[in-house]
Amino acid sequence: MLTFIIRRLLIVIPMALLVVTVTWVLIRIAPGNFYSGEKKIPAAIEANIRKKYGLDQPWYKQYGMMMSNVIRGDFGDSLKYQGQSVNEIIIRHLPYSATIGVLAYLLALLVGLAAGTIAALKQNSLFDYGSMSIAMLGLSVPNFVLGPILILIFAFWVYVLPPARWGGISALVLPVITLGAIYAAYIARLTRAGMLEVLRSDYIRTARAKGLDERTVLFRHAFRGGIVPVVSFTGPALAGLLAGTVVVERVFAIPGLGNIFIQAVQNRDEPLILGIVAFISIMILVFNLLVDISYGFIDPRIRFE
Amino acid sequence: MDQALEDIKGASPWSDAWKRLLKNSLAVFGLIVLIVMILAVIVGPSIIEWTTGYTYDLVPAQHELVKAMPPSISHPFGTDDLGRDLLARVLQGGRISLMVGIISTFVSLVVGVSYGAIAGYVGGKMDNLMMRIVDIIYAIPYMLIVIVLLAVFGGPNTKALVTWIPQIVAGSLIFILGILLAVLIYRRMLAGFSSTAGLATQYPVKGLLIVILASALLGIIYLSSLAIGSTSLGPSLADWYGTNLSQGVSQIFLLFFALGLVSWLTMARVVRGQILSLKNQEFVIAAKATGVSPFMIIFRHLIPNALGPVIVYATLTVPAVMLTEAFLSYLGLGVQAPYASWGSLSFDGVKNLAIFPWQLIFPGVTMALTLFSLNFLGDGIRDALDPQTRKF
Repeated sequence: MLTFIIRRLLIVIPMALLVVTVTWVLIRIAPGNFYSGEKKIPAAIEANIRKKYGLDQPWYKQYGMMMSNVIRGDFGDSLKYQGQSVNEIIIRHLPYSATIGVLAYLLALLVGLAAGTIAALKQNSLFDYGSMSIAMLGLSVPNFVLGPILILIFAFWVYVLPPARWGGISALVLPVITLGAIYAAYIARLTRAGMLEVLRSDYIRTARAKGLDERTVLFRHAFRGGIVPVVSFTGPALAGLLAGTVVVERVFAIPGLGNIFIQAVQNRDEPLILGIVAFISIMILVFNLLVDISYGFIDPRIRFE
Repeated sequence: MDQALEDIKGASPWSDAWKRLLKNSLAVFGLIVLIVMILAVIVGPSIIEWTTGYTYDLVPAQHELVKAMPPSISHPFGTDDLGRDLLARVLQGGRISLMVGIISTFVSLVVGVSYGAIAGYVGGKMDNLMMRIVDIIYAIPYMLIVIVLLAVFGGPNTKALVTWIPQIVAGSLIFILGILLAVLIYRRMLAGFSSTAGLATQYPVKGLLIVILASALLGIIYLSSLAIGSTSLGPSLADWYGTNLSQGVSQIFLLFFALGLVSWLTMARVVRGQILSLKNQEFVIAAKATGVSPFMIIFRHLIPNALGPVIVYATLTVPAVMLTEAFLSYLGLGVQAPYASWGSLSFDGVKNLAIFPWQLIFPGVTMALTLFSLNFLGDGIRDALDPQTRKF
């Protein structure tokens, strides 16, 4: 178990560096530069800019410089937001994205697990068909359609929630629902399928046969096996939440990390892009590791290689 | 009695599955909506042009201040900011959205099935290596990289990418051949060490010949790729591309590339699992015994038998890819004006949400309906092909 964790942790760093390298190569091989725009820059000024940012060095030196900065965790200053370091910008904008992301996933877990479990217990009932049809609908409506429609209904037709703004709980409701809906739908479907399979297994029959009451059977025995698919979905869900926050932040004008990333990419603000990419990669890789570790606690039958 | 037996026609698994699919009313609903949608996007734009003269990029010469019209008889879906007919744009956008979904899924099918089948069939160290590569790519937050790729290579910069196509093709060929060669030599060496009458004594000439021939082939390809790089093939390709294809189209090709790049991973895993369970069955051993080549065993015997899960997964990949495309177009990185996709139309609609809500509702609902049908159809096909899951 410990060796498993250490081995996986040792993979995280090279993987994150690989992602940073791929991103760096993509930015560098594309024609143009961050300073190339509509206006033509005089050659002398261009030479000065290139010198200041080390662009006059050979590529391997530039790569080495970039890599040593990244490894030290110092990405330097943003090119667009003068005088602000990349780390400052990330720390300033992360709380917005993290709040929405965590709340959305909690909402999805709550709704999805409850709906999925009840649907599995009352299989082929009206609730089962109803909740699964709603889940399918949730999977099919893109969040950039759902969000604006919710704004239209709750902010423009019925004046109960603000359309876009940060501050206060009321402003969180719509973004969190928009982001969480698709995951609630996924989790409900996974939970239902997982629970149906587990409820039919031998160890549940044994538990019932030895006279345990239904609640113990359900929560102590069935639930643990039934939610394994949900746990393995957490990894992809995290990556998806990330993409989702980009859209939701755009729709609701929230100054989160996703919005900053899109702006940085469009400005070709290299240090900021690399910083965000490295940060998010490490976060996703570490979360995937945590998910893998948690398998062993949830389902004792799963062993680490 | 023999006659009676012959009269009973055995139902093939496929016709059986088809019957089960037709019993699933939601899947049939999905199938019908999908067929209607595909017909509509294929012939719809032409019909609208014949009857009313509106096309997806026709900007009417009118002098009113507000050009966005609510839905009416002449414009069933209303018009957009420039007065373009929204129905024509939604249908045109559907063409691109569905095309992106289908082509990217096809790419992921070809790459994923071949990759997974080879890994599963060859097995051993090769399988381990190939699947490790998939694991690594899988763990990469590809959305970040796709966003960067589309942003820096979108627009006029796609031309630079086209210039490098010959080198990229030659480079990947060399890479694949190099790996094959390495595996070949490795196997020869293993055979040489493990058997008492090894490589050197058993096939002294043949083994050496293969290595020399393969190296020569590699050298020729390398030299020719250098030659291609120095010729004007790349630049002339870029010139042709620049004069014949508009920027909107170039962005669509970039989308295919970016989406195809990542969607084959799960397919490869699914196929590999299937092949692993199939490859030790009697019919494969029989094929091996009669001297069928590994290539033919994989593509004639193994893949057709693994087709069920592949079809199911492909049906579910289409909506996933379409959703990703819409997401990228929504961020302004995908399809560019004057072309439209459901994602970019939704994006345009959101800007005017409070005043002209129909600009979001029509493309959004059309897309949601299509994805809804695709998901139901995929679920239905899975239930039909795998009757065991239906028992639940």
